[in-house]
Amino acid sequence: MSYVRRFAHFWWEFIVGDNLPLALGAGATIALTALLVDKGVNAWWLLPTGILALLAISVARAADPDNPLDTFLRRRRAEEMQHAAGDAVHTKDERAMLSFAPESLAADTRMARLAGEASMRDVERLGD
Amino acid sequence: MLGVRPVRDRGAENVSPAYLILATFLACAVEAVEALTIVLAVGTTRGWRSTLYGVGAAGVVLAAVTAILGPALTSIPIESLQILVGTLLVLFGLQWLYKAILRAAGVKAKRDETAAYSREVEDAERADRPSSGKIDWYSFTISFKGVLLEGLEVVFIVLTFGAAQNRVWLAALAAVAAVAVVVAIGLVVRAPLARVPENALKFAVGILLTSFGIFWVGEGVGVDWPGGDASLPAIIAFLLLGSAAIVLTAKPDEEVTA
Repeated sequence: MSYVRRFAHFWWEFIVGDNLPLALGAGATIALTALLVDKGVNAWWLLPTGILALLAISVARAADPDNPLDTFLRRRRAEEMQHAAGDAVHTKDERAMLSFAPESLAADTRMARLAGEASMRDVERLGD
Repeated sequence: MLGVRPVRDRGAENVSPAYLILATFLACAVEAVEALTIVLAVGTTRGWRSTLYGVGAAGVVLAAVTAILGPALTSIPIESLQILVGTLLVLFGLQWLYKAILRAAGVKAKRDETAAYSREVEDAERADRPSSGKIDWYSFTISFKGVLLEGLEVVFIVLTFGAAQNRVWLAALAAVAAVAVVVAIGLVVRAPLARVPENALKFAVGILLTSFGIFWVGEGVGVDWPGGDASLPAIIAFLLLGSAAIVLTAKPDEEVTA
């Protein structure tokens, strides 16, 4: 991954995080409010209720582990993390070990740390 | 209250600075607890000199970012600033709130400072050590990255909150005070602050960030809030009650543990 992509990825994780539908929904609610206000409607009620509704839907989705969208997103994220971990480690044995345990990701390797690259634990830290 | 949008004659700086101090202090305290865990683990395992160099270097970078971006943000016209800052705060605050709700409901495991400390100590013990007298780049890098990553969130909150109220200095003071309190407690306890109710603090910060984001972005796009600035506590109460209801409805049969 190039430095530019890593930089963009860092800021994406920082601002938007791992819940893109929630961020897109919030953006759409803000845009709709602006549109209504522009048309002369004082839609002060839309932002708080819309944001809370989005939050409720997101939490309900997360609480249901079998919902298809999250299953797909989780699998994709696990693949991305496995790929990133594979780039970060430098021995064949370590790569082989990670391919069997993509979730554990002992990816915060000395190499990644000493090279100053964003490691998987850094990404986890942002998630906290 | 539907009607034609009136001309606005007030800015966000009319909002009480107490909210600014409270949100910044709480957010900074949470992040300082997490950074302290990393610094303590590396410092006690590998020595303090290089670890503290890393902390100092991260502090300089964070201070520089605040000093450069603070005046730049405050020079943006108030309405554009409200839309920019409000949108960012809604997105950022929702991240905090969403995760805090999942943790409070038991859907996601709560952060365990003691476990995080043990992981850092284990890694620090495994890493190669430099010959005596030389800089330990492992300690430097880990403490630098830990403090920088946790600190960036604080800088973000200080800048957005501070700029929208034209009080970056007050937000920075609240942040510094929070770090001082956490470090003082850490020096006394000499252990990760595992008993700090991190999730409750994150829940509160998420509510405050999202509420301010909603209020400011609303002002920015021209919403006339009923009651003016007095609607802000109402938005906070609405989100708090709504989020508490979401927690209650989302509780699974078995809680997830770390």
